[in-house]
Amino acid sequence: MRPALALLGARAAQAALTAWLLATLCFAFMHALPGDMALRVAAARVGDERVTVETTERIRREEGLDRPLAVQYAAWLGRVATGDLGQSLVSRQPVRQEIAYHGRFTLGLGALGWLVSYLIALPLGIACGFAPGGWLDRVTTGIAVALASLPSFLVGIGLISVFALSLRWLPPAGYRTGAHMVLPALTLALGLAAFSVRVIRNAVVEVRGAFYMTFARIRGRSAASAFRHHGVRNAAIPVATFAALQFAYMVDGFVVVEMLFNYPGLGELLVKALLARDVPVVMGAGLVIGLVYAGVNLLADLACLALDPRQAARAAA
Amino acid sequence: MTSWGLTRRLLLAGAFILPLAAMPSLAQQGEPVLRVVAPWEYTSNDPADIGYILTRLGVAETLVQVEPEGQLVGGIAESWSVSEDKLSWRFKLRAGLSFHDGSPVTAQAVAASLKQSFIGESLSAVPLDSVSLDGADVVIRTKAPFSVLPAFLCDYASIVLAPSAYGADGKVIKIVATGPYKLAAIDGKTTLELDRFEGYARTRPAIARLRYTAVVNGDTRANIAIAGDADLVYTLSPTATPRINAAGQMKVESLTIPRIRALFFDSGLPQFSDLRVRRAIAMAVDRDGIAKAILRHPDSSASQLLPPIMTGWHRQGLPAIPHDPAAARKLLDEAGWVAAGDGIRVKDGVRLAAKLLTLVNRPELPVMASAIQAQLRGIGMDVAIEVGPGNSVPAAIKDGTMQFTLVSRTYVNVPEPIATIIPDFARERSVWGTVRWDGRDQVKALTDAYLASFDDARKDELRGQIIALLHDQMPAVPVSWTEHSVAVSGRIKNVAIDPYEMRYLVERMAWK
Repeated sequence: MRPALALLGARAAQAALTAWLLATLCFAFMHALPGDMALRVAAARVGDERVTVETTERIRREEGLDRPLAVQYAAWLGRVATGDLGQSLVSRQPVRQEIAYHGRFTLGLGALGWLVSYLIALPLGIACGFAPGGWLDRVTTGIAVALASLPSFLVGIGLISVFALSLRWLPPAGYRTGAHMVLPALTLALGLAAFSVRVIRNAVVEVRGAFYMTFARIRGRSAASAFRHHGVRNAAIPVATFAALQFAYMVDGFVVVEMLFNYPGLGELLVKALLARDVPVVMGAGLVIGLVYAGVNLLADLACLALDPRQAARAAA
Repeated sequence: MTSWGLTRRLLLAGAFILPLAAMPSLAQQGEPVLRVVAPWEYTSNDPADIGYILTRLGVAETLVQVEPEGQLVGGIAESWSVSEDKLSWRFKLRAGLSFHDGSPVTAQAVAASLKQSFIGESLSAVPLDSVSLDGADVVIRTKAPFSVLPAFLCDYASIVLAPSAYGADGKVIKIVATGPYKLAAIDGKTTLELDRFEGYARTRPAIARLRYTAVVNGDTRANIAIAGDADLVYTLSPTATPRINAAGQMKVESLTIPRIRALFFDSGLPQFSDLRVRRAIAMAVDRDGIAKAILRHPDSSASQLLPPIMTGWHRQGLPAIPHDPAAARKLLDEAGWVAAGDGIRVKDGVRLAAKLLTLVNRPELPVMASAIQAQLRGIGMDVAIEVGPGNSVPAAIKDGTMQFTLVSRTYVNVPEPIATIIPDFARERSVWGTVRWDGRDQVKALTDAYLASFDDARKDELRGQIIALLHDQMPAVPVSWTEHSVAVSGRIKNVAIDPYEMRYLVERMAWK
């Protein structure tokens, strides 16, 4: 258990540092953007066409946007230290509440997209790994390369055109029912599967060529049985590491997919907060995304430790 | 077969994860739900921020309302009168009204709600003296005669809310209003569920349930209309209309409304300070071509600020602005702008060049800007286009970087265009309109007289003078009026379009 504990400690410190750095960068970049912050906030509140000089000045005063940047940053840091992420400048709701509401949707969509991506990639990747260079492998590679090179908004628009506008099987946008979830989850899943299918295939090919597999066959196990007993665990190590790396892609994917499907997740919250210069929301979201990213990486490391006792032994030594 | 173990694990994982993915889906039973889609998110409870969503959906009402035909009618007030000295307005409230929480609409409650509305900036143009009670009537006193007060009281910032709507600090904590529909649930910023308010005394709406969904992206709204996934989809781009009609799920209905797409200038710049340059630009713009080819609505071509539907403000006698590039070139020659080697005109070392700022949130604007860029190139003017988000125009005017803009601007924030003409044309630096125009004092004199006048004939005369001055001095070059488009499903009837964009009038609609 000791290596896992050491890992936890180191990673927790890393996570806190990453999240703080990310939030600080958000603060710096938001203030480096040209234009009057109070005006942007006012426009987001009352609508672009109803903005007045008076509203802008009142918001600047009320929200303390006229204070020096260092004071604003120190105030934010002080609040965060007590667990308070502040209030949205636009909705005036607690940032924690906003992130919890939108995060719930992103978590649901992310879990579904990730699950669907592995439902696609695992069987395909393993099948390709069993017959590298075969027709299935070549076709899968072709499609994977095509999907990986397409930006996700194009994949999404393609899916909307076919399934929502032409066939009318599924709604084009929204979040209310299971049917609303299919297209956004599929858009996300196709983008993820395009990469993971290759990683799984390569892991399987490598494991199948390993000496211990030949030895298992010599001992009389069938190819399938040998793979089940000796191959799966070894092949899973690079796949688990990769799955965590994909989380970074997911954050990117959320922003595009959620905007495209009018899905009220964190990505959508972030984009709107950026446009409205809603600094507390952007910083809060940065903080949370940083923490979750670190958390997912930690889970992947723990999974690798569990999958590969050699790592634990090395760490202990 | 080989991956059986993994699949089993995945299924287990799936059983764990799927409940997370199951989003709240309220099973709708019983009454059918009218699905309304529009661009505006419900971002807060502050009436100054989102009051228009509440008035459009019929949740909240104002003291005075405007009918689609333009006449002011009683909302919460039954009638009103003004005192001899023209300073005191008495509003008689409708009898038997109640708020959504069941409490009666009393003069005390209305006065208290109005006092809160007058604190904000939305109604700051009203020279308010006091809001008080006189028996069962509400009395509003102004410091100076203000003939357009009833029109200003249609402003959504002045919606009347119950005492229980306000927190201890006077801020609105929940919406308790008086309209034919009441808020049943708010889900995030995008979804509002509404039920018919059974205590509504004025009519009984035929449609009992309503769901409002905010969809900010115009293309997504068009997709929803193409797929037929709503009953009413508001604010569609002109280019989407043919696709929506062709799909056959919904039908687009439209009406020309008092919202203009126009070029506004910083007349303090050497390029635009000469009236002859602004007139040349007006003649170089092919507004008929733009209306036909880009907007697909030939009637939307605009030669003056307000469209014919605004009978008092649209002046029949004004000559149309001709599309005449030759005359435009001649005018520039006269003004001393001479073409240099690259074809762009120069005067006193200043190139006839400027940055045209336009907006991304109305998809037709950048396309129109490109057409105008080419048309102005034809008279020797070099235009660089910059496309920004909705708030970039007020930002550019404030920063002093605005040169000229192509924007879409409504003149009926309240059903009296004067309320928008004053901030746009009578100030040195407006928020959305003109900058450093030397005719602003003339406009101010006319608008001041208009606000103070209670004589219909005199007001009509002043309207004519204001519009003629704008037409003559060209602080803004009108290009086209806007079509307000609504996609309507085959399930409903009695759909009306409000040119004032104040109400969707769902309470007058019915299922087929």
